[in-house]
Amino acid sequence: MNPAELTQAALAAPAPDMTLIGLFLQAHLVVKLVMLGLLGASVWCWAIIVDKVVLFSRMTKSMDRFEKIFWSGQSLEDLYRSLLNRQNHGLSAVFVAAMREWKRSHEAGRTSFLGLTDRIEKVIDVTIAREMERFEGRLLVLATVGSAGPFIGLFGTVWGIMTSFQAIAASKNTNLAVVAPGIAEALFATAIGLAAAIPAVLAYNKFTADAAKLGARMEGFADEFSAILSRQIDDRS
Amino acid sequence: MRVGLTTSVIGHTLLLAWGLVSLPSAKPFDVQAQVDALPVDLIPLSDVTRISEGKKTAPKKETASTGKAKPPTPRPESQKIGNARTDQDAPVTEKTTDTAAAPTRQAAAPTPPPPPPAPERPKAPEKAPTPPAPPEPAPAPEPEPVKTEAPKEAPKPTAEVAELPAEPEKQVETPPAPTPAVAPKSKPKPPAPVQTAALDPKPAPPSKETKRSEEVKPVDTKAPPKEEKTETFNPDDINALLNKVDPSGGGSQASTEEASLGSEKATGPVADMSQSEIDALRSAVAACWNYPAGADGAENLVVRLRIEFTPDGDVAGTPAILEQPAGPLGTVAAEGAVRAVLRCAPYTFLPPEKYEVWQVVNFRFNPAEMF
Repeated sequence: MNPAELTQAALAAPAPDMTLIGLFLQAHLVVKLVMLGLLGASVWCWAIIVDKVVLFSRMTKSMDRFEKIFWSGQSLEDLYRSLLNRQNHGLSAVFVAAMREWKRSHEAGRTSFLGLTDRIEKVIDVTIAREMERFEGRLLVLATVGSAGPFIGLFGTVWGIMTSFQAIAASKNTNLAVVAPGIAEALFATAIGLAAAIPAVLAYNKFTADAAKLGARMEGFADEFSAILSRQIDDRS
Repeated sequence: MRVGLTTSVIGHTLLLAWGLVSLPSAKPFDVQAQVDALPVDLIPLSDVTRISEGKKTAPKKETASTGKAKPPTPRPESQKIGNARTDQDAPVTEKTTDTAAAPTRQAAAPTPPPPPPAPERPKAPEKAPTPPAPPEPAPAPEPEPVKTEAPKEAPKPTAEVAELPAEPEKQVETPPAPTPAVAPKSKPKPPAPVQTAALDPKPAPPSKETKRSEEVKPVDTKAPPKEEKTETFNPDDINALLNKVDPSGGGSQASTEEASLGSEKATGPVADMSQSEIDALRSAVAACWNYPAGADGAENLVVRLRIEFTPDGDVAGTPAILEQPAGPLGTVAAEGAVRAVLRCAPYTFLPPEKYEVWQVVNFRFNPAEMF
């Protein structure tokens, strides 16, 4: 078969469907599964990202507001009463937890302040840990997708190229027009993998840093507040 | 979390939808034109440009003549006609049409034509007997009678029917009639060629003839065409007419240089020693050459030898010293060069097919170049 005929035949062949749907439908089952999985991962990642963005922004705002109120000289009793019936997060949660422990120690009528400081600090630590868990929860998903996504996509690509090479071997035609569609659709898997992984990695890094910042802020507030409480305890004892 | 998930799903759906709609399928590359594979041969140009033809009688020259081949300039308005070997001066077709038209112009004088035939006939036989001797030129002489007949008949039709396109046909028809009349007188002359000549007056006769026929027509009335014939063609002179000019030129056949020494039979590209062969010879000799290194001015000891080789690469005889530096040191260097050449023999790497080239080599020993 002379080259001219080959090119003619290749030109005469219908152009392969190169739209997104076409690429997906032509792919091998394994590649399809990889693509679907990566698409799901991407959806989940973005859900987490949106969630975290909303959470962190809301958290920062609420912390700012709480600190403003806290240092405004308002009575801590009033503040505690106004916050008690609300769902509290962040600094207010720390404050409420510490105040609750303080109140309980007083309501029981016990005047022994022995061990109260330890209890309050423990409560504060637990609260901070719970809050931190809320901040960092699901960030691991982002990390996993970010690191594994390219590999999964690469697996789909390798599989697709493998099958397309098998097809080439079967058709005994190495014309580029025959080879190209299979490789294109195989590379599509890697593209999806990267598309899922890149935002995940970026978001993971940013959210980890944000969570650490919020945690430090909470730690600082907890220290200050426990210092105030221990001063009170020392005064009363 | 619900907010995030919903947002993410909606975002991905929108992204995919946008991708489906606005991302077009890949555009095919804009291929300008389908290029067919071209077979390419690498041809050494020297085969074409350096063809020389030698001449045995030429004086000896060291170099092949370097004259450039000048293509012969074509004569103006010449073209190849019929079976003629050389170009003819005038284009045929126009002239023939002229001749066809000529009689019609002369139609005014229809009477003159008849007389010519009468003188013609006797003359034709005179010429006729001679042609048979040289067989080849036979076709050439024949046209003459034809012409004499042609004008003769041509006027007649014009007299009868003015300017009929059928004239040539009539010419064709009529000739047979006269030829029988001629036949008895000149039997040796074959009638067939006459007919053929008459049948296709346009392509067959070379333009010379057509010219002559032109000349003949005006002459027809006044003078007998006999003079024309003697001028135009004499079978006895064929030998003289043949082109006896020897090919001149040395570098190539058409060049103006005088022929250089070479084989007359072998016409072809001038064989040269390739640079690699020259270098090989040079390095081989240099390896054996003990020149008086260290002596004052040793690098200026340039020796030229004339070395003759045998076909198997051995040195024939002793190399002749063409040039040696002055002084005893020069003699030493020259003798050393001779010894070097003899010591390194045979030079088997010299290609035997180019023996003509390296049969005699003028070798220049230059220490500055060789070491």
